[in-house]
Amino acid sequence: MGPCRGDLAVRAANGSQNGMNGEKMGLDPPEWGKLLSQNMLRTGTLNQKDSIVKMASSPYFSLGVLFLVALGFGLTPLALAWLWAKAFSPAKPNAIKNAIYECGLVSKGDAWVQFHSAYYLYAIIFMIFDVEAVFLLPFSVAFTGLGASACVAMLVFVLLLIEGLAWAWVKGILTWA
Amino acid sequence: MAVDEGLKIELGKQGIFVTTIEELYNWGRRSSIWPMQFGLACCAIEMIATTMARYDLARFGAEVFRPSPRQADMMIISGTVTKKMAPQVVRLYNQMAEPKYVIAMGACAISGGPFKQGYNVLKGIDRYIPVDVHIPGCPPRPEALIHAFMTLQKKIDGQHLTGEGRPRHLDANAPGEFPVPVQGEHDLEPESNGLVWPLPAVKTGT
Repeated sequence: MGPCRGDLAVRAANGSQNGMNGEKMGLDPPEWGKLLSQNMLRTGTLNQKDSIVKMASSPYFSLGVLFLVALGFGLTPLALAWLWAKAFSPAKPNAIKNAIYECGLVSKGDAWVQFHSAYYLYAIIFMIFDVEAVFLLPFSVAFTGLGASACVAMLVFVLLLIEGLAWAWVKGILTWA
Repeated sequence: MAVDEGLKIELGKQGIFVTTIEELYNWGRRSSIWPMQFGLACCAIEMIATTMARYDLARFGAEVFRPSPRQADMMIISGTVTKKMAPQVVRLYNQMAEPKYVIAMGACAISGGPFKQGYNVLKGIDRYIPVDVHIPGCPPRPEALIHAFMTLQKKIDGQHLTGEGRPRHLDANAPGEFPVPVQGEHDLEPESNGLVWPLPAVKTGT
């Protein structure tokens, strides 16, 4: 923004000089308006037109426009379909038709069932083995070409993960309650 | 109301095409009938063959088998409807969007077929839901299904949008819900829906 603003300020300064010369020659009222806005810029007050210029020169302006277009592209067909259905849809609603579709059977219970928190703990412990396997394979493939420091680093990594497993074991998470 | 056929052809030769809203509407309806993805027995294999490249049901605008009744226009009852399955079939039919059509495919679907004397097979799905086209055969060949489909298209084409015989979705008095039978002690209860099956139940063994 710095250079841009400076550019405007320079132009404003030039404009005011021209304006002083032009005022003697008698300018049209629109020219006065321009001079006024330039004076306001010089004094640090931005009017509406200048703020639009400032916004359009922002690097995010085109992104914003694209976002709005993308939003309209998605929402307009939905809105049209909704309006079309409101006006023309031949609905014959009834209790069976509005019921939950479950392959022709009557649905039982609630779809929002809760899972036991033990499932999540198991998922997290699974991650230990998952991450370990991902790194152990390239390690074992390149094992013969590795130095001692690489082996120590890998050992630390594996021991860190094993520590997590041991912690879970001690906490009794591995025992299904 | 409708333009004379001869005049229409003459105008067409001069490059002027005349149509009515009704014709356009029915043309759109009959050219985009989406069947429900729903197979019951061996007839379903023939139904699948009909949709594949060799018989190519897509030519008639019906290749989009929908996995949900909410998006389907047509139900092909493709095979034996057991008494255990009948409530599900009727419920699915109820859940389809209007206007909906039914093709009963094969001897079992239209009458019970070879299992008609059996204790556990429904003697025709038209006891519970309105069937538009019946196809005999065990199983019917894909050509027969395509013929049934063309028959259904002709039926849709011939429907006027007002007056008698208009499509169900434009008739406020037409029923939207068909009662789902339940498993009784010996048979489905009720044995049939009087709205679509006005014939009296056949008494046997008395």
